[in-house]
Amino acid sequence: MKHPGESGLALYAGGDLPALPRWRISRHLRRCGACREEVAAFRKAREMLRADAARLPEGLDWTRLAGEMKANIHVGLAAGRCVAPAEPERRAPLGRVAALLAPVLLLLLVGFWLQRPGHKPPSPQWEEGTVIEASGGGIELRQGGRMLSLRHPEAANVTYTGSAQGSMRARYVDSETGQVTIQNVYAP
Amino acid sequence: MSMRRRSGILLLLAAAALWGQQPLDLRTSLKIEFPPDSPVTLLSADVGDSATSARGSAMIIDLRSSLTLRNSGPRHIRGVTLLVSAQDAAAGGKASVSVPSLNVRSGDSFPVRINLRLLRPLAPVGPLVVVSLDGLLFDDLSFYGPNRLNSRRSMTAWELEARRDRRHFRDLLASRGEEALRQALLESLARQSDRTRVDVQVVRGGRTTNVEAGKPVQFAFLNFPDSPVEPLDGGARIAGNEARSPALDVRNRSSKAVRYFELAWIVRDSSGREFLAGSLPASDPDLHLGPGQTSKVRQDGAFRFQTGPGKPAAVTSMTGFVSQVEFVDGAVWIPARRDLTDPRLARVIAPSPEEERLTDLYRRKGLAAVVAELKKFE
Repeated sequence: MKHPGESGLALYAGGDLPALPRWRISRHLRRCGACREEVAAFRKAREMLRADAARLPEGLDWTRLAGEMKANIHVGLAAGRCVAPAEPERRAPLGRVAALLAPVLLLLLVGFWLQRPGHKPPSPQWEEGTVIEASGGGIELRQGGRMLSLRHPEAANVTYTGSAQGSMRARYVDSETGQVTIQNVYAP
Repeated sequence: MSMRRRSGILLLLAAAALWGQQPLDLRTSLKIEFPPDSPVTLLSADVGDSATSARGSAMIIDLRSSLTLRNSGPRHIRGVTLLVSAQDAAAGGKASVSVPSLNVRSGDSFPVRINLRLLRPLAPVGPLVVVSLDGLLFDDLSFYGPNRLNSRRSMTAWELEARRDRRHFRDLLASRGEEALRQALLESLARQSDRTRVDVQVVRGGRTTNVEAGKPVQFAFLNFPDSPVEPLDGGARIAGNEARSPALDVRNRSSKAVRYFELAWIVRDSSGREFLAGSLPASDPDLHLGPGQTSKVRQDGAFRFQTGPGKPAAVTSMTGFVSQVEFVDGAVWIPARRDLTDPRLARVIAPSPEEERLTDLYRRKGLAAVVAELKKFE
């Protein structure tokens, strides 16, 4: 019998697995006592930690604690630099300086050309990887791990319209107010 | 399991447990900002059913708010647009909630509901959501507000559509009586329920579905005789259910300079169904298209369509028509009702917000309520 990994069992114990893996592990647990015990141990540990967290001293200043840790790291780094062998001072050759400056100069020139009066970009650019999606329940803007969603009643008769400029519209009659409501989500 | 691995997992679980216990005051999470001279004032903001929950290392915030606003100015309000910003959750993305087709007299109040879901990885600092006024449209088509989202144009177009459609229904009632009005409302409801609905995804960057191998597909155009802007040529690259990089050439055939126009985009899929896919707006934010001049629209990004979960709608052809034009003097053009009665268009396009509101009123309260509603706007 193939057992699920520890991380899978831990996430299952915490209720943090998506539907399909959760179903797979729950199916496995019905047949496997060892994994059931493992999950029970995770749950128990989680409860203990939760109880411990609740007993944290009152007035504990996390900001100050973080500041002290940061300061300690800085002290450690500074000490490391003190004991490291000193590097001989090197003078950058003229060619290397020119090679470094050339792309910067090119970037400045391109920036100036793009900003000059009369130049118009072909279309407003929106951020790479941005997705706006209409689905049953709302319009969602997703960027990496972040999400903004405007929700509407599930049962409402909703008309969705996407705009090539990077926005999405949902329109429905609000059954409580009788008003037409139009929601828009715009990409950054 | 090694002690170190177990400790690591326990630490993760502890962090998740602690995170789940983060208290969040939803009342301070919603900030509402109206200018001091705003013709609407906030009477109340209810966030009663809002909730937060933890998902892994992220937090989900369900903000269900109902605002009650009062018209504190002298004019009738016809529409409102609220700008919703959630910087931490959307990194610059914005949202808006508009309520058109209003008829709010001075001193009257009206509700606006905003239901939001945010997923964010970090502990919240300060208000999660800021709601501000983007615009108000009055019965004389004057406007108040910062108009950051160009809500003046959208709300003016909705108001003009509302006037056009109310006039149509009133004329019908006056010339052919209540049965004809009932028949028209029933036909509209039937069209609304027959319309193909699609789930749309608008995407920028990332992996695409083999779109490089996609073929260019030209738009077929429906030209309305009185449209100030004439589409000349255009197309997009199509691969399966994805349409990418739409482009369009247009000509201003009116006598006034144009600063914005929009093409409604109809797509036919491989099973012959047609649906309104979206809109292709002018891409130049500083457009000034003089009489007789031509302009090009180039939009980046892609549309993906599906008629249901796991049911991609393979695009085979596209049709477009000019659905909105704004002139430099702020006047807005919309198609006449007779243009939209083309049977092919009527099957595909959504009714105006006002027609949808009136048909919904008929469905819920009957013909008498619609007749009374039409009289309110006379």
